[in-house]
Amino acid sequence: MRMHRSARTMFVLIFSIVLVLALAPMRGLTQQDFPTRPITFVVGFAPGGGADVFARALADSAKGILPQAIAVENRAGAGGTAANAYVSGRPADGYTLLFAHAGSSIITPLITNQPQLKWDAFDPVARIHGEEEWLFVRPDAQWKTPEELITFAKANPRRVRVAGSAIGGIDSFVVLAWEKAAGISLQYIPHEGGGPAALTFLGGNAEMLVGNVSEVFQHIQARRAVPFLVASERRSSIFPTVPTMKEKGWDVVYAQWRSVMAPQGVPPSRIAALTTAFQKALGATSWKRFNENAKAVDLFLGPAEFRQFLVNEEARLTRVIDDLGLRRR
Amino acid sequence: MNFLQSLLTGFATALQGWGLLVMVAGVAWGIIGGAIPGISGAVAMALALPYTFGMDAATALVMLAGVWAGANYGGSIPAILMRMPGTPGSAAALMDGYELTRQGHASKALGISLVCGTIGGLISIIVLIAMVVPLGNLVLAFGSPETFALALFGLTLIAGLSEKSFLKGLASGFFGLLLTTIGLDTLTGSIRFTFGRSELLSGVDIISIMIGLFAVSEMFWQIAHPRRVAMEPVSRAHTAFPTFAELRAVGRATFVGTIVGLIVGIMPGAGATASSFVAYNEARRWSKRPDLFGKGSMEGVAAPETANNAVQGGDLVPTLALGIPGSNSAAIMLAALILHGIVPGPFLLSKHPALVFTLFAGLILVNLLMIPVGIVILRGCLVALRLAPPALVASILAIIVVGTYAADLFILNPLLALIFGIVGYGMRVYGFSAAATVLGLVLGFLAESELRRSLLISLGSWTIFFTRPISAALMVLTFGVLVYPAVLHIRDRWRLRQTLAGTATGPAHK
Repeated sequence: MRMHRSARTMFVLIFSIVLVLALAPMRGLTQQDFPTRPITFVVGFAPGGGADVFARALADSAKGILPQAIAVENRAGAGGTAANAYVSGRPADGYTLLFAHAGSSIITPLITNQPQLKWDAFDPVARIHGEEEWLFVRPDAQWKTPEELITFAKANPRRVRVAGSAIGGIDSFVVLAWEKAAGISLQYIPHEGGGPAALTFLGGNAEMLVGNVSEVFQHIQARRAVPFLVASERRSSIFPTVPTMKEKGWDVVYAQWRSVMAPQGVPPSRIAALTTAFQKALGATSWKRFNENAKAVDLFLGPAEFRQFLVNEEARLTRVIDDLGLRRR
Repeated sequence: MNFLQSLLTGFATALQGWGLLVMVAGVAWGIIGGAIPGISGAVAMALALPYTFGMDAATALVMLAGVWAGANYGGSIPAILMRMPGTPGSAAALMDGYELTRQGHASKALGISLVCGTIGGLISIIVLIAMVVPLGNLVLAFGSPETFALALFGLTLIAGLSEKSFLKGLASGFFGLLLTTIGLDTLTGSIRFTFGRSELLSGVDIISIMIGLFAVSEMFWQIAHPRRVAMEPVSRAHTAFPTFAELRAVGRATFVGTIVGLIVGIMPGAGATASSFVAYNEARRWSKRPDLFGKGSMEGVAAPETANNAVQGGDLVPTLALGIPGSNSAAIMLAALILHGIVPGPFLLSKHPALVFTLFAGLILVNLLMIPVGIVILRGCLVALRLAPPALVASILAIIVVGTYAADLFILNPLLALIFGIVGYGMRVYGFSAAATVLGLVLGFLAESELRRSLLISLGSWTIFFTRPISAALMVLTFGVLVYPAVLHIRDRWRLRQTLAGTATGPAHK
């Protein structure tokens, strides 16, 4: 009796496995035979951080679009480049993807002299979204306009303290580029991340804060922080009354963009399938809600345009890195 | 009234459906994950995160809270049994916990750690529930100068850890401080002491070094000096639960641990590890038997274990009141919120009160569940003591290699554990203090970055540490702690000389 039952269970199990295996390629046929098994999305940062949350939300939104699931894998370390090293050694079959942003794919490889881990060692799949870079002041700030601030900063070099994330991150580049463009000198206070920087600012230990709006949005509503300038091409839809740095005459345009890359040599048809899937995922309700909560904007670019963007971005960031003297020679 | 009603509704929500089962699973996984070297509380929570996607936000938070609470305790199981800290936060309890194991009191030490940890966790959650909003404003009073002052205060423990030679203790502590300078420097972007290894860019893996200095060196020591360590018969394991008298004996240490854990938890920069070392030091200062510390003091286990659990409530203050995580573990809680479409921030309490109250209720429940779940797992772990020493040493070394590798998948980490095992052995032979090195390692990053950041904030002026009330108070305390023993020493010598002079001149008079 017992034998009989376990044999039957076994049969049902094997039958269902065969059924699943038989059906899986059939669904895949409509999608150019790819993907037929789950895709791994490797994130070079610890779980719970901005990069990780982004990757998980993207994987979740692509769920119904790709016939296979996307599994997020964290390989934190070495400023994100540990994941670059890992992914570059994986087979170029489109089943291993890499999370990439300016820090992990351009800045850190450059300053740590690891050109083999830079963005051009990978195939760009898509630029997905980005968070605008903002400068905030406190509601009781003595300057009402950027011009007043510049006058004060010129008369008092290094008196205006700006809290932001680590030197070598986009935050620090915004401030450095602004100092150069406006001919001022500020006191930049680096932190381990956006959260600690916000605490220094909210605690009254810095006059300004540079960073993304997501961490301070509710503090703006609570009248503890005021958006002052945005480092984007056009005015942001989040606070349309806030001027861009560009319209004030300073060519400072930076965004914290996030993207997907693949090991070099993935067949173009597979890259195209992935790009299309991600583009569709950006229309999903879950993604839209995530983006709105994260105060991020869609910055979708396909492989060709994204590659061109990366060429320009690298040239631009290289200049700032050399201005800061961060590159090892 | 309204408040109580909300909390009761919270309990009902937390317990409905699969609630209890999810909490038990969370706590159990937390304890087991915490006990595995290399899986810290935050990593254990991150591994559980994908399983919470199918749950509603409240259940997900409660489960993660369970993992968090469990991991705080789980780390101390291998720390006490095998001198192998499962999480960085359990390193302070190891100093006396492992001594107790060697004396045959392993189950007692584990029981004290479990019960006191639960007490600390519960009190901190109650304080959190009662005062989250006012404490939230207090968070902003803790800036870089305050965190630096706390780190400095914590470093005074070096004096207590250097038993034979203060100079050797100081050297050991500074060695630990030096190790924390390895990696990419946040404040300048320059690369320090990485010797071209990209794995070192994010700094050395603290837990690998801790395991090397404590556990690997101990294994080497046991190999070099084979002797049967007095081990408690496992049949007595049911006495693990401490008696009321034993709890009263560690009452003062538990109280100190709770206070320290709460305060350090609220401070945004410092977390469970810093709190456990500060609590250990303070418990000794206030203890009636400070001489027992380092030689198997129950208070030396109770204080750090209470503190690292009490951090949970404190850590959640900036997380819930400001939307800024107080630690890596709290960051996972925020990630879970974001992934469930809830925006954390100062309006979380007013916009999602039901969710927050369910979390509060869940936090109380998971801390209570720690005791039954903990006892079941603890009994299983005590079986390890039945192994013959060679088998035990071999299995521990195997666990160490796998655990340190599994955390980041860097082969460098098990190598570090091995190298620091040899270093730790040498330190023991020549009378240096491995514990002081670990202390420097734990507080070094905090001390250095907050010192330099404070000076950036003050535009280079050192007075910043004395013009802010909290920082000034901590600085005065640090100074007092350092000078007081010297003053006592001089006074005693002076009195001795007086009495000697008195007895010397006495007879001559008459």
